[in-house]
Amino acid sequence: MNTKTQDPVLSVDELVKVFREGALTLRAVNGISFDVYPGEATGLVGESGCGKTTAARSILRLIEPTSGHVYFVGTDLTQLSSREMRAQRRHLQMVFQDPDTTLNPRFTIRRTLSEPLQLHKLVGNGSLEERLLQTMSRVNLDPEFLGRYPHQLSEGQKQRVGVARAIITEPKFVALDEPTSSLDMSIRIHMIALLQRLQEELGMTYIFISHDLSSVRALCNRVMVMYLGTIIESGPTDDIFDRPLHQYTRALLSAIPIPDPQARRQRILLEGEPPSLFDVPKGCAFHERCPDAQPGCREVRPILRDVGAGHLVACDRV
Amino acid sequence: MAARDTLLRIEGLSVSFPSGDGRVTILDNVSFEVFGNEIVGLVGESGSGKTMTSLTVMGFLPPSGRIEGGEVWFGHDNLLSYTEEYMRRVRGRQIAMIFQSTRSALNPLMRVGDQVARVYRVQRGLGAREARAQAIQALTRVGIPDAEQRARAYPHQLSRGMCQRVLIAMMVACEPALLIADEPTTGLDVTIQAQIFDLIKNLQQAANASILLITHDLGVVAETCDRVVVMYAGQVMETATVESLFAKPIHPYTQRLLHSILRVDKTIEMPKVDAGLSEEVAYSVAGCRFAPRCPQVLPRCWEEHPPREQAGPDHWVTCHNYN
Repeated sequence: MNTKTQDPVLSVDELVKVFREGALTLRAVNGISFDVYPGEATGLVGESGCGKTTAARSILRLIEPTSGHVYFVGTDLTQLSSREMRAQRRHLQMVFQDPDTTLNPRFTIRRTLSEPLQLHKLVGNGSLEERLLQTMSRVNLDPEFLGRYPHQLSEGQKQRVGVARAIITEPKFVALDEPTSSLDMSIRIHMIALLQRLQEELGMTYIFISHDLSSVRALCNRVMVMYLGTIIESGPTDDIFDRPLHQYTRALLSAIPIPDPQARRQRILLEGEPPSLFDVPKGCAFHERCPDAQPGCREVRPILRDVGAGHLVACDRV
Repeated sequence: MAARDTLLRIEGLSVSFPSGDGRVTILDNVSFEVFGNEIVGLVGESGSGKTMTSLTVMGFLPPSGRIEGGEVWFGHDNLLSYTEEYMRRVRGRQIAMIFQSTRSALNPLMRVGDQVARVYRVQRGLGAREARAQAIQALTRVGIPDAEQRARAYPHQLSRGMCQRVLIAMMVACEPALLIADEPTTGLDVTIQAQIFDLIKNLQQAANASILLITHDLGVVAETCDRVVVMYAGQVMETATVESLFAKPIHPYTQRLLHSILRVDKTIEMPKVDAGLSEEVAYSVAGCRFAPRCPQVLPRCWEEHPPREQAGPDHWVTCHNYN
């Protein structure tokens, strides 16, 4: 799917999000830039604390970015008033990680799904029911569930309600934050198949935030790997998975167990744990754990550069 | 392979819980073995009964649970016939368990070094000074850097990965013959998960111990385990060596399970049918509980419990279609 001739749906430019706590400064997102094209699914991967969720929330202005710009179909979202932003929200939706904390336990599914439609005045009285039934059918849930409460549903069903709530306004862009992480491995594939089908049916563009790299491989066209607030590698999905260049990406991929006893391979075991975001090392943020680090890596932060065919890497050793 | 010592043998274990006006059989005639010096994966989806099986072995069955039948042999002892007081002596010393939620398994008000040292005092009868020295050694052995200093930390000051290492250090202190690890890397990042499994495997080999590893991750099973027990809705569907199960899954449930895993090493074909609606599990079926979802279902599958049949060396299956 080469869509580069079109304009990007979303263009993120030097986005920064800094949290301050007393004298401490935490740079959760440290200047990331990327474009997402229509109909694409872009994976944003990395381990906990790498800034991927903060990045998504800043893009949608669920939290205010510290600096940088986010262009959505040409409009700079960071410059909009909150009223103007609210008007955009029907086009920019998010599916959250944990349906238990993001679905109101006191609302029936009907009320949860009706709210965005009423908020954005998208339906008259007559067409509400029709829209609810259509959306339930799109996410393959029995319409009978409209009358139920979240606790009466299984994990997989609750996550489908989360997806239904996001797509009911027929958005152009959806940020999916770990939609498969709370699910059993055997039902993840169905969630991915569902997201794929919905993307085609509704022509949506996705950012898929996940540490579940096998789900990312199945759903995304492009992947961006984050480490301590910066993108350290990005490119077409198969390139990243089959020919990773950054040592961190290599280690991350090699750590994922493969469900095939014949597929024994070399695991790159990383030493230690990621450093604290309060204390990001100078130079390349990964140099302390990198098996290939050179003295120069301690001094200069490598820039993300194109090494061919849209594969970008932030490592001076490549 | 020479005859192996059976360390744990579960035979025909059935456990029920109250549900509505009646009782629902959460474990239905569960049978499998754990031999000496091996890692057995107990796999299945949420609600398949894998955690309940391990709780029953540990004598931690919740009060509303009732054992309807069966035996749990550990060496020459049927654990189900013992009192709580006796079980307290078995737990820790002989069978230990690592739970899913690391933080809540540690005492938040006690320094982690003291928690490990306490195990040496209680289980091994060491004095305070010696227990403390051993604790720091154990923390070093599980890969905690600056163990002497970290021993003074409280759990909230350590990362989840470090907390899991502390728990493993407590297990090491007990030197159990059998360790039950229930999803021990839930909530940990994959690079940390890889470190933890590496550690668990090394410790297991060094101690010649056995591990019953509860997981829903077939990747972890393929890379960590020697044998596998596949459970569905409280019934054991298939048991086999890892190689045999992945090469030649026999039960239709196992086949479906293996075909539904997403892979990081290759692009797989996505299912045409979205099985979103059929998640409810059929605990009420008298025969094979996979019958409602089985593509090869036979009339008798609904009524009769299939026998456990041998399908190869170390490969057993519970399915009417076999033969």
